[in-house]
Amino acid sequence: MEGEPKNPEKKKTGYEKKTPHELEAEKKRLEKEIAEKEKKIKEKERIIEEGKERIPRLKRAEEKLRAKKEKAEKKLKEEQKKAKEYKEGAEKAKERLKQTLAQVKTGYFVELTPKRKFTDPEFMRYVPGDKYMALMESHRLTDAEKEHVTRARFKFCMDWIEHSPEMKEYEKKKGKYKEAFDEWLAHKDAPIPEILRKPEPQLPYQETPTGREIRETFRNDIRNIKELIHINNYMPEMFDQFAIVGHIRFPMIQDIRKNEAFAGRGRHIREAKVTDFIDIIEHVEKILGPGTEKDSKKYFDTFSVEQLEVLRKRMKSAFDGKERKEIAGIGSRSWQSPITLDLMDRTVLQGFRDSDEGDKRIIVKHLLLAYKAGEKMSEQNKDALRWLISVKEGPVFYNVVNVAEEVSIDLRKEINIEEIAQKLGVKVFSGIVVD
Amino acid sequence: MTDYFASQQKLLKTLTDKLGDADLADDFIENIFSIGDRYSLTLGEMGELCSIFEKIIREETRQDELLENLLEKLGASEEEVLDITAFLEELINQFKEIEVIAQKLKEVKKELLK
Repeated sequence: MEGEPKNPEKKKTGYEKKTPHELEAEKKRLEKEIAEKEKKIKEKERIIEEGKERIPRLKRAEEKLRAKKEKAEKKLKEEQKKAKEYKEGAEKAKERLKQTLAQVKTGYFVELTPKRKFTDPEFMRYVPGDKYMALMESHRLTDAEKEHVTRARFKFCMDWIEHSPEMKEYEKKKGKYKEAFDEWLAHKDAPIPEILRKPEPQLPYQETPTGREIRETFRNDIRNIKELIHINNYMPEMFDQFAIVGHIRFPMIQDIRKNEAFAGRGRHIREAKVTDFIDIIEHVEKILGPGTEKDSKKYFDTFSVEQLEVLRKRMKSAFDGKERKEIAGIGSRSWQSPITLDLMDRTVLQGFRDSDEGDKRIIVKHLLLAYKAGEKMSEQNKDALRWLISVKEGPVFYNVVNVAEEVSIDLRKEINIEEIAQKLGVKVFSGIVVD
Repeated sequence: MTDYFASQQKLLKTLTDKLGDADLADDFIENIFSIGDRYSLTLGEMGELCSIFEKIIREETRQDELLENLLEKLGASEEEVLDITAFLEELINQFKEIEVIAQKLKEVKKELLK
C-alpha cells in the first residue's frame, strides 16, 4: 500500500473515518427512514384501496347528480314552456281585451264599466283613445276621478321612463357623455376622449316592447289634440319628458303651441321636443359667449376642424330624428345657432320655403361664411350651396348674390359665385347671375 | 336610424348619373321628401325611403321585397305605409319612363356630335 501514489482528491465514501458507534447510529437513522417510507407507502396503498372502494360510490353520486340535473333541466324547460304559454296567453288576453274594448259601444263602456276598472293601469292602458276621451267628457266621473283615470292610463309610460333598467342605463351613459363633451369642448387643444368617438347614447325605445308601445301611442295613436289637452291637465309632468314628447309628431306640436288650452305651456312642450338640439346648442352658446352665440364667423374662428366634426356628428343624430319642416319650427334660438345652420343641406333648406326673406338671408349668409372658412365647411352646407346656385329651384328659394356682396364687405374678401360653383363642381344656373 | 344625408347624396348621384340632369334628379329627391312631409316622417325615415328608392333604380330588381319591408323601417302607421308604397311605386314608374327618354336623348346628342 505504501507504493500507491497519494491521491488527496480520492472520493470518500463517508464510512472510512466513522467509528462503530457512529455507524450504528447511522444504521438506526436509515432504518427509521425506511420505516417512515414504508409507513407512507402503506398510507398511500390504503388511500388507493379506499379510492377503489369510493369509485363506485362516486359513480353512483355522479349518476344521481346527472339525474338531478336532467330533472332540473326538464323542470326549467317546463317552466319556460309555461312562461311562454303564459306570455302568449297574456298577449292573447291583451289582444282580446283590446278587441273587446274596441267593439263595445262607447256609451255602454262609459256608463256600465265598474268605476274601479277605470283606475286599473292594466285595463286603462288598452282603452282606445275615443273611449278615454268619452270618459274624460263624461259626467259620471268627478274631476279628481278623471285625474286617476289619466294616471292609470299612462302609468306604463312613466314607469318605463323612471324605473326600467334600459332607461336607467341610458341616463347613466348620457350623463357621462355630456360631461365628457362639455369638458373637452372647453379645452380647445385636448385630444378627443374615446367616449366622444362613439355615437351619442340614444333613447332605448326600440329595444323594449314598452318603449315601442310608447312611441306607437304618441306617434300614431294619439291624433286628437283634445287627448293631449287632458294629459296636460291631469298629468303635466308627462310633457316634461323627451322620451314622450320626442315621439309626438311635429304638426301636433304646432297645434299644441297654438291651442290656448295649454295655457302658455306650448313653448315649454316644444322645447322638450327638441331637448336633443338644445343640449348641443347650449354647449356651443357657452363657448361662443353671450351676444355672439349666433355669430357664424366667430363659430368658424373658434372651433377647430376636429371639434366641428364631433359637434356635427352629435347634431346629425339629432337631425335624423326630426321632421325636416320641424327644423324651421324649433324656434329661432335653436335654428339660428351656427351648429344647426351647419347641418343644413338642400333638403332641410326646403323646409324653410315658406319662411320670410330675413330668415332665408340668415341661412345663406351662414353658407357663404362657411364657404369662406374653407376646410371647415360641412358637406351639408356644400350641398345646400350647390343647390342654391346650380339647380333651378335654388334661386327661387333665395338669390345668393343678394347676400354675397354684404358678406364680401364684412369679410373684406370678394365672394365670386362663379368661383364657388367651380370649386363645388357645378355650373351656375343660368338665371341666377342676371338681375 | 339611417343617416339621411348620406342616403340622399347617394340617391342624388345615382339619379344624376342615370338621367344626366341635375334638375330632374333634384325633383325626384324633392318628391320623396314631400311624401315624408305629408306623413310626418323623420329625416332618418326619409333616409330609408331614399335608400330603398336608390336600391330599386340601381339594381332594377327586388322592388317588391324592398317595398314590403317598409312597415318595419318607418314609424308610420300601416295605412300610411300603404300610401307611401303606392306613391313610391308610381315614382319608380315615372323614373323608368324618364330614364328611357334620357337614354334616347343621350343617343341623339351622340349622333349630333358626330
